[in-house]
Amino acid sequence: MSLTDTPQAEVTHGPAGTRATSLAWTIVSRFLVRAAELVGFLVLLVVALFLLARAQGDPAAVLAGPEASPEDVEAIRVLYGLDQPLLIQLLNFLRHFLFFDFGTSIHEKVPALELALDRLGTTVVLCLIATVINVAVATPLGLYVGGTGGRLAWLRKVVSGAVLAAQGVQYYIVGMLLIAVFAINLRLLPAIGFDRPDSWVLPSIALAWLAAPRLTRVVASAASQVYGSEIVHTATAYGLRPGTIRTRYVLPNVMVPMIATAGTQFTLLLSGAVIVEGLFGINGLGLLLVVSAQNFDFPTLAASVTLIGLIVFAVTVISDLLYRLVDPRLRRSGA
Amino acid sequence: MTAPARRPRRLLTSRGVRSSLFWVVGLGILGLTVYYHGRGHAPQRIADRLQGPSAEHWLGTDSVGRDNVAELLAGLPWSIEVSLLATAIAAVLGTLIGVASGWYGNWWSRALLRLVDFEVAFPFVVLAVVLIGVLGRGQLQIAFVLGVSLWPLVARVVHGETLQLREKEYVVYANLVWGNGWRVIREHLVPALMIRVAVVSAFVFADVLGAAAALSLLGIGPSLETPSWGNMLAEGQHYLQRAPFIAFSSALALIFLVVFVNLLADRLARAVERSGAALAGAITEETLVTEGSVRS
Repeated sequence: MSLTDTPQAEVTHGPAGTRATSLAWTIVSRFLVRAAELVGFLVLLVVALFLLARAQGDPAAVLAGPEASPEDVEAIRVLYGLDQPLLIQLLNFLRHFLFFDFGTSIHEKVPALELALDRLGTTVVLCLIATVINVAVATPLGLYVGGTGGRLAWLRKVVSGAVLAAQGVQYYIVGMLLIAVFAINLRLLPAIGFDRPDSWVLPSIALAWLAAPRLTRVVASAASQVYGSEIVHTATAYGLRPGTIRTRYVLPNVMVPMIATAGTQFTLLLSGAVIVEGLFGINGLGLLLVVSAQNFDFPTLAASVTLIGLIVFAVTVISDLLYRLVDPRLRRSGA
Repeated sequence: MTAPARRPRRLLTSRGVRSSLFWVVGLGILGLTVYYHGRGHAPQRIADRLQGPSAEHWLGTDSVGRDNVAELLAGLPWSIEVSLLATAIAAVLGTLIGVASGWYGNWWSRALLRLVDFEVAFPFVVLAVVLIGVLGRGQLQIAFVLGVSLWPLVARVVHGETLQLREKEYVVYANLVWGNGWRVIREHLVPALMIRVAVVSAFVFADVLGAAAALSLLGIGPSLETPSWGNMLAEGQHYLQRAPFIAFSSALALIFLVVFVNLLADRLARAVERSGAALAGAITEETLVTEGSVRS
């Protein structure tokens, strides 16, 4: 017995080793592909912005202000190198751009990257809180909607319909409703700002509304698949309690689509954050983006857009790793 | 075998599709009627400003005394035109690039697809805000920007579908017989794709309706001389306490329209799935959200 056991053990050990390296390779190669996508997209976007901004107006005139004399405008044009051919300007800009040097904000007169980095934290915190609310609401709700049996079958239908209806209600309308009820009528929570913990509540709920109904439906459809599978039938036949089945068999199987969706939804939340920040007067990256877009503040725009691209990149990589961590099958196959 | 072009007609007779189509088309016709009736805001009566609902003004009046019902009707054409235009841009751009990247499997089409991948991952409101800042706030500009921000949704679906269709026998044989890829695309591929494009476009349409109104909230929507539901909502935000009916009526109208467009899209998608015209599985809002991340 022991003679035949040893080579077998070695045989199973061999492929496991190669699997481990192929997993590392998959992760690294995905990371590199994502990074290349990020750089390619950002360069394209920034070049397009650069050309469009130049087609729209004369940056020297904007910099000089409305009361400047033609000589002043000319001096500024020379000072900032705006008198050179467009192609040279573009190449100069790209060279700086690749080293995260975006120049000075035209409107605020401070380095654009600093300005954007200052606001970054607020937006990320807002989106993270919204993600937590999103997952905390959608997981139990989705497991309930996707489940079967129970005494109140009609209730499940009602909840499922409510989720569908909630999806049609825009999050900014929810935000306005929250302001009207909790800030104006009940005077419980502040309607403006993001500096105190109690001011986090309303914007985060409004933002989470953007993602939660969809996530609930994703979790529900995954859960109903698991509930129909043999795993659950067997567990039920063994007499396990519904609660045990839910936490031990259904939940782990729902985790992968849930994390994948919640990860993609972070982008959706960044989109929504721009509008929620406007609605609640939060000084985040979104509001900075709106203000600098209106002021033709090109360096600040480039810096903010780049930072947002980096967040998206980080979130994609993290959720990529996270669902491998959660699902051992993906780890082994290296998919 | 039924020709692919016949299928849409059969779909329209399904009950679920028909009832939601009724509302959406009804509102569209209403919008066009108002359009021919004359553009611009409803008449002002400053003495009647900020009123609640009454027999004379069913949903109250706004800050310069316009009747809210009349103002909703006046704002309808703008929203519908922008959404139609933006959806058309997204559909055409998405179809072109989706077919190109699916049919020709060469390096530039793969690079194009990578671009799509990242644009799906990039927050589209950020893109729209930046582009509107540069291009301006006219109706055409807003429609263009929203269309350009949302086309990857269409491109993704079209790409997946093209990959499947390319392997179909009638497409392979047509390609062999004609030896002309462009003709095969025009006569076989695009007609077969149309129904899927229609389904995604319906989802895009709903997204544009919501996003266009959100732009007004940020103060970068259409100018205030233009009546639109977003402008009404933005105004209502300032009068939440004194005249909640401005926000209430525009919000309700927006929710109503978006929900029905979404229902229409959802039912259309299910009907397509049942009829067997869909090859790559049903499009639902979930697939549009998740497909961006779960790539094998």
